[in-house]
Amino acid sequence: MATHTNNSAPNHSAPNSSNSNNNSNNNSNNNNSNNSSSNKSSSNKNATDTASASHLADQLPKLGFGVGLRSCHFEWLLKNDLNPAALNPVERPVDWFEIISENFMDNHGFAHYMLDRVRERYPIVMHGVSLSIGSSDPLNWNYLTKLNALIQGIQPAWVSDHICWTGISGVNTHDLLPLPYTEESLRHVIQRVNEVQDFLQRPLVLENPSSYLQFQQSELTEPEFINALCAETGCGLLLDVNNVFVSSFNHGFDAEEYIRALPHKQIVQMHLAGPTHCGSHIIDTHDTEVPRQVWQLYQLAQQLTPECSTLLEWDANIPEFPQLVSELNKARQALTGELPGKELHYQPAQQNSGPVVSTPAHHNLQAHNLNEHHNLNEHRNLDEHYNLDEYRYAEAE
Amino acid sequence: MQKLNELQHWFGRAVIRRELDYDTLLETIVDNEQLSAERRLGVYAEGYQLRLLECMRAEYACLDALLSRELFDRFALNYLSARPSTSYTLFDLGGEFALFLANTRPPMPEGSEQQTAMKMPEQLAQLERYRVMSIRGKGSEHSEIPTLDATILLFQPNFLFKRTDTSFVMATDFDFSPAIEAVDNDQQPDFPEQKSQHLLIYRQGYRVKLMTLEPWQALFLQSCDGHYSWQAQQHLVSEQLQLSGGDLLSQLITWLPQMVSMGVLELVEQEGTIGSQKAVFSMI
Repeated sequence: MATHTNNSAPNHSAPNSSNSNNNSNNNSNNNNSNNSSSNKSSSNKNATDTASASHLADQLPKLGFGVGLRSCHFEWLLKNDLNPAALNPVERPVDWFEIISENFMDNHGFAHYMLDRVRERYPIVMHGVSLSIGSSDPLNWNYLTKLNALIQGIQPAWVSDHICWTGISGVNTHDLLPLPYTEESLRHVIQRVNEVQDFLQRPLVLENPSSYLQFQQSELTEPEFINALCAETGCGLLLDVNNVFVSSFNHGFDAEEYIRALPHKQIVQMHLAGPTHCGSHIIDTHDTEVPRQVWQLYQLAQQLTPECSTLLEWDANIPEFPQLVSELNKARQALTGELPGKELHYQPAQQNSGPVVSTPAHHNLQAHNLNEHHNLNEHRNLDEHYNLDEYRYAEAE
Repeated sequence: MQKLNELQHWFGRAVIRRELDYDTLLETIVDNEQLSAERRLGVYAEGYQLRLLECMRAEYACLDALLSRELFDRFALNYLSARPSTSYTLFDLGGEFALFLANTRPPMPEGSEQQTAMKMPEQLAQLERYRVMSIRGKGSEHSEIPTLDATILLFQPNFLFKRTDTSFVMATDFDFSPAIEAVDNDQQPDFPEQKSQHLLIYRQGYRVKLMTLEPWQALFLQSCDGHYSWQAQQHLVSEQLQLSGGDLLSQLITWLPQMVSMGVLELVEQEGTIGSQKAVFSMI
């Protein structure tokens, strides 16, 4: 595969390269009405080519209940679930795993070895945090080329990222920053989603963000923005139920109304997580159990999008794998009509333990990579006496 | 109304550089009783700094423990301010920290004890960076490692070796190994003893390890770039360190196969000679 220079559009790999070339820093000045029709044309073609005109949720598999693959669980997985000697193939603790795409780009070490082992047994979904689909910087073709290479290697069920931007002028904040919901932003994101889908030759799935501010100039609600984006590009929606809860509190909108207003046939996946209440606002920390309010919204979302693939995110203070699975199993319980979890309230005493940081999973996994290796070094059995190939499930079969 | 591009530049300056224009703030961000516009923007600004700082603490855990949190954070925040991330991956975030520490080290008399002491942070940062690079490299776990021995080497003076992408050699003025081991075991490290040494950072079976090297071993490994035959390297080391060629040869022919079996070195396939290399192995 050709390697593109960073921030330069591909010459031949991207079918829609003419659009890519238009995508300069000042494209936000002139990509409205005139470009709109060409974008729409590209969009329709794109949707036909990659997702087809029918609904994406009907085309992608229903994966069931999954968790994020995190390095602190590698050892447990090796010793239990991926160990043929301890395995009952019928009883898998989870149905699928989601990986943070960026953590496996340029990473050829133990993490990649583990991913290969997990892939032998489970479906994988790739979830990115650096696409920066809403940035007015040019698309990063170096990033997209590496993303595509990982896709070819992993063959994920689908590929997702966020409706956000992560940086400007080449600087990456490594945060998921909010967009103003304007016609200009919408046209900009539509154009770029089309370019990315053309390049990757597959539909993108994009996640609604959690946010802590709104822009005065926004003309559309978030659901209106998402509906238009999905309709014009054929992209899918990853509905983060916790993000809806967080943003609804921070901005004072009705979370149920928000969920009812979404394009349900385009929802291919749901995220669940636990946030932190800071009194005046809630931060999306992914560091605790899913609160009851989120389970309530999840029940509604599942009524509107039955059997939608569900993933539990937990990225700080990560529990042992069995406890993580117990939390995931509450999602199964929620679908029977029971309402699990505890109400999230502001507890001032807990706020004295330190600053609260929203935690994109990307960061967390990198930190745990280091810890993981510390742990493995302590357990010398994996070091000198263990043959990692013993854990090759597929070979053992 | 600001264009998207203008708004994102304004937002970036406020979050990354903490340059806040209050007039624009109220025109741009919804302000209400629940939370002011400034505090709303502050969630992103604080999150930006703390998130990246956490990454630096995780990557440079031993330096963080030795310097104290306050001093480490000051170094790290200065670094992040001088070199904000321009990469899609946080793996690149701390890539130039050791260089930054070296470039910002206060001037001291050359060769003085103070100068050596001041080099501790940059040397430890380099060592910790190599460890992370070693964790993520391709390594040799999936390679077919040839079985080399002294006889093969003596028959093949033109074999080329290079370090795998998980192997690094560095000279240090401190014995860092006990401190690294302490942090790996979640213990507070003692300040490292001042001691000049050569260190090998390498990966075997996906585990990153440290090994002290003799000067001739360090020089030999440093010159293993796949361009010179091991015999030419032997002459270079012998000349530079004023060692007897015969003594060096006798040590190399037993040590070099160990380096290959440990995944530190790999044999470079030479055009036209690969067949002969394989033939030699099969004969043995």
